[in-house]
Formats: sequence, C-alpha cells, structure tokens
Amino acid sequence: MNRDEFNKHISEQMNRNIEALFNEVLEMGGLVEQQLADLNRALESNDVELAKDAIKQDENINRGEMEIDRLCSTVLARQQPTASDLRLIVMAIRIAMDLERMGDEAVKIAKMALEQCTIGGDCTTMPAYNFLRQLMLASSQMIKTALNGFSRLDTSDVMSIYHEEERMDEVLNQAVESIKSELLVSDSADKVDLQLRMLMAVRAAERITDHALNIGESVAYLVKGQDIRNLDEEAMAKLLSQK
Amino acid sequence: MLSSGIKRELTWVIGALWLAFGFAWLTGWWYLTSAGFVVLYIGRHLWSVRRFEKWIQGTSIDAHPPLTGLWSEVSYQVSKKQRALEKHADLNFYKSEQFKAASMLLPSAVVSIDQNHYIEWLNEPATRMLGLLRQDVGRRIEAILRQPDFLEYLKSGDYRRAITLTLDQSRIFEVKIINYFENHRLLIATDITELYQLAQIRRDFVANASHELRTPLTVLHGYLELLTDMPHDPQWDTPLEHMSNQTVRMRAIIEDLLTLSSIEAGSINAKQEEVDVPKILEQLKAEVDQLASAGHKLKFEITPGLMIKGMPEPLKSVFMNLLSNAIRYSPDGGEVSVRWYVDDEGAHFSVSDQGLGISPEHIPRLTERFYRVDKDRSRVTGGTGLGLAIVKHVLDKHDSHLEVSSMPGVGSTFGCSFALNRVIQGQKDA
Repeated sequence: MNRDEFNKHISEQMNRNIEALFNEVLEMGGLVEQQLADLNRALESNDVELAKDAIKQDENINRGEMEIDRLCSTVLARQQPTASDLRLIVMAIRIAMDLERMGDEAVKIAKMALEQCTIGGDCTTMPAYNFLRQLMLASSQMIKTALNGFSRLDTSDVMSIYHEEERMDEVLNQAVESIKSELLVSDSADKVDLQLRMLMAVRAAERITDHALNIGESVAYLVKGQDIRNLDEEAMAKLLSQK
Repeated sequence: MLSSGIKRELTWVIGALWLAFGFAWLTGWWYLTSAGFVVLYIGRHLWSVRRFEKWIQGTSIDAHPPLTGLWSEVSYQVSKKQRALEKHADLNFYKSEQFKAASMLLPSAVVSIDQNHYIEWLNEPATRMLGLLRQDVGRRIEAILRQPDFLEYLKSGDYRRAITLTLDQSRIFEVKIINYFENHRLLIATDITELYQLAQIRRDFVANASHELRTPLTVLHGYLELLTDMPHDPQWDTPLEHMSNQTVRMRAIIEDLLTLSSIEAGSINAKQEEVDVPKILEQLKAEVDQLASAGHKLKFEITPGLMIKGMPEPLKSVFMNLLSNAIRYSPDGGEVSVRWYVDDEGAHFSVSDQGLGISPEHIPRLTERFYRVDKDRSRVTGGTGLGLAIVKHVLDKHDSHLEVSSMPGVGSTFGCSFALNRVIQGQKDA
C-alpha cells in the first residue's frame, strides 16, 4: 500500500476525510508520546507537576479517540470504502483503542508516582525502580517506532518491536521476582503496600509495551493486508520482508 | 549599414544573378533563365527553411544548418544564443548545487515545507536530529514530528517566537519556523541541550547559594543589633552602624536574587488574577512619599478603575522598582511623574524623571544583573543591582517588556505596556 493512494479517489471529500483520519491518529499518538515522555521525566526527577500533566493529558487522549471514532463512522456511512481504505479505517479504530488504553495505563503509573512523591519518598528508591524505568523507556521507544511505521506505511521495524516486547516480558518477570523477594522480608503494612503499588505499576508499564506491539501489528495488517497476529515469529518475519 | 544577414543574402543573389546573366547571354534564353532564377531562388529558401528546422529540432546528428545566405546567419545567431543560455544554465545549476551542499552542511536541522505542511527538502542534520528520513520528502511534517506543542505552534501561524521541544527523552531543541519564498516555510531546529543545562546549573547555583548565605547573615545581623543596644564605647558607634547598614543591604541583594531565581524557575507561575493597579499605585505613593523626603515633586496621573490580568505581587515589585529608581537617580527637587493609562493598543505604565539620563550604549544592558552605568555612584544610592533584572523577568511573564527612553542630562522614561486582552476596565466613571 502506498501513501499516494489516499489521493486517488474520485471523490474529493473522501480524500479529505481519509487524510484527516490519518492525521488525527498521528496527532493522538503524539499526545500519548508526550504523556509517556512527561511520565518518564517525572519518574526520573520526582517532578510532581509533570506527573500531574501526564494524568491531565489523558483527557485529551480520550477526546482524540472519540474524534477518530467519529471520523471513521462518517467515512463508513458516507463513502462505503473498500480494500486499503477500509483497512485503514478498521485499523485506525484499533490503533486509537490501543493508544487510549496506553494512556490509561500511563495514568495508573503516574498516580503511583504521585502518591510516592507526596508521601515524601523518592521514586528512584522504590523497589524494582530500575525495572520500571527500563519498561517505560522501552515503551516510549516502541510507540515511537510503531507510529513512525504507521506514518510511513513501513513495516520494516515491526519485527524489532516484536523482539523488544518479548524482552520486556522477561523484564516484567524479573521485576515480579524481585518484588516477591522483597515482600517476603518486609515486616510492615506500609512496605507491603508500596510493593503492591509497584507491582501494579510494572504490570501497567508492561501492558503499554503490549499495546505498542498491537499497533505494530495493525500497521502490518494495514500495509500487507494480512493478519500477522496468529503467526509464529518465522512466518511473521517472512511475510514482513516480502515486497 | 546593412546587417550581416542581408549582406550574405545579397552576395549570393548578386553572384547567382551574374551566373544567370552569363548563361542567358551565351544561350539567348532570357525569359527562361529569369523564370529559372526566380524558381531557384524560392526553392533554395524553402530548402534552407527545411534544413534549419531539422537542425533546430536536433533529432538527428547529421542535420547541419544551411551554409549560405540569410539562413546561415540566422543559424549562427541562434546557436550563439543557445550556447550563452547553456552557459548561464550551467552557472545557475552550479550555484544551486553549491547552495544545496552548503545547506546540507549547516549545523542546524533545516526542513522546507509547503503551505500544506508537506516536506519539500531537508538537510542531513534534520535526519540526524529530528529523526526524519530522506523518504519523508512529500509526507506531512506532522506525521513525524507529533509533539503536541509543535503541532500547536505549526497550526498557530504565529512564528515570531521560537519554541523548545524535547525529543528522544533528553535532547532539547529550539525550533523556529520562518516564512519564505511565497507560501513556503523553513523549519530550523538547533540543539540547545548544553546551553539549556548550563542555564539550569546557573539558576540552581544562584538559588542554592543565596539560600545558604541568608542564614549566616541573619545571625550576623542579629548580633550586630544586640551590640548596638548594649552599652559600649562610643568610638564603636560608626563602625557598628556601617556594619549593620551593610548587612541590611546584603540581605536586600539576597532577597532580590531569590526572587529572581524563583521567577526564572517559573515557580511564581501563580494564577493570573485581576490586579488593581490604581490601588497598588496608591499604596506605593504613600511608601514613596517617605523615601522622597529630599523634596522630590511627585506627580501621579492614574486612570481609575483600570485593572489588568496578571500576578499582583510581582507587578507591585515592578512598579516599586521603577519608581524607586526614578527617585534615586533624580536630583533633589526633581520632578517624577507616574502615568497609568489605556489607549487603543493597551494599558501603559510609565515613570519619567528629570535625572541624569542614560547614554544610549548602556540602555540595552540595563536589565543585566549587577550592571552599573556609573560604578561609583550607584553604590552610594544603595540599589541592589537586581531591580531591573526582576522587572524584566516579571514583564516577560506578562508578555510585556521594559521600554526605556532617555536623554543624558534631561531625564529618562521607563515604562511597560500590557496588551488589550489583559486589560479589565472596571467602573469607568469611578
């Protein structure tokens, strides 16, 4: 599929709608990227304001999803698109959903960080902080790669997202192990509380990477016209490398 | 004079006529020869036109231009002109290549976009710094630079200011868009990470250092007061007074430094609320009346009920600083007039004095920290050297700036303006 195809419809209105939809998805993606970047900086420097910004950003992201849904149903109702246009619309809905879920997970982490900061603690001293950081940085990078792939209709980086996601599953396991061992030796309710909150946060961060991979898969479907979700790694790599 | 084309043509015609005349004289076929001459002449022209056309089309290499008469001259001129054009085109091509090479080597990222934000060309640093690819030419810039701040800037259409963007987690860029060449825009991004960090370090240092200095100073000042009140040898009166004056001054400087760093750090990004400027000025008038005991004439011209949206405390310090400067730098008995009024452009505040005035070369540097126009004088008059720096930063937060006009020996006017959208006009008749 080629980007130019958007401008090849006989209906001028359809060109415009499709183009607007495409841009809206990317704009919403930008909001999520910004949210994750704010959250990363907040975790790094215990910045309460940035964590609050990240939570506030969620409203805009939700509004973005609504706008995409509206645009999609408009195009579906008025122009009955087929083939690549239809794929774009279905995938736009899916990507918007993934982005919105990412925003929600990010809010969970931000709330945890906020709580930790206001108690007077330092995020960097939390148990399994390094794992959380690793997960967050990876998710920032993965969503950026996935969205760049979407904007360029290029699937060459989908495999790297896939591998990164597998690596992050591993990181999550390690994080859970480390929290578990801390839980065994913790003696106060406060500490247990903190461990549990952290467990939720790393879980949320791992979910973000899952959603990033989902977006990558959506892009692959959009470009190649084939679902890669149920393929094993080898078949996926083969399909993606096909011209 | 005859042109060379006509000359060539005439040479041929006369030559051919001689031949025809000789032929007719020998044979006696006069009519036939003249008819033949006319046919030959026209035929030769038509044939030349055909050859010329073939040559100018340039489809076959064998085509040569006509060699005699008018047409040879025309071909010669055309080819001469063509060569000149080619040379010119070569030169232009060379120049544009040179320009392209130069733009590739600029240290800043440069991206040219058209009115619909489609990328037209970009240079090498743009790929490195902004993560664009060569293939992105023809795509929209929003597809790659998705930062909400950038999108807002791009859509706003107001490119007078640059924005700072954080990309890739840690690099900070200053991004500016410039309109150029009809509807095209140039996006220029410069990596300012180091500068930004340096400024951050400086800010932190000043804030921390001032904070640390404040505690020992308080102790010092406390004991000095105690010593003054205790019975002591009268010969210590003057030193004690001097010492306590200097600690007061030092404390003022530190307070100002702390104010400055808190403004810079943005922590006074407090809510913008209604500021009752006339009321503030009334208060200041009372305070200043005591300060101006040396017989300054104060004139206040204030529009009642003219309020603006802003931060009350910082604005008060702006007005106070400007007013106390005016009094400090005017001679005894000088007139200081304060105006607060509104017109079509917005609300204006100004303080004029009849003091020494400032020579033009100093004016741009006035808001620098500890900048002194006259090194000896200012210490005596007792400013902290930070007043105008504070003024500058506070006005920045109100989208305003300090306006200074001054004539050495005549006086100075310091002022600032606030845009109409900040102006709240209460009871006009009050």
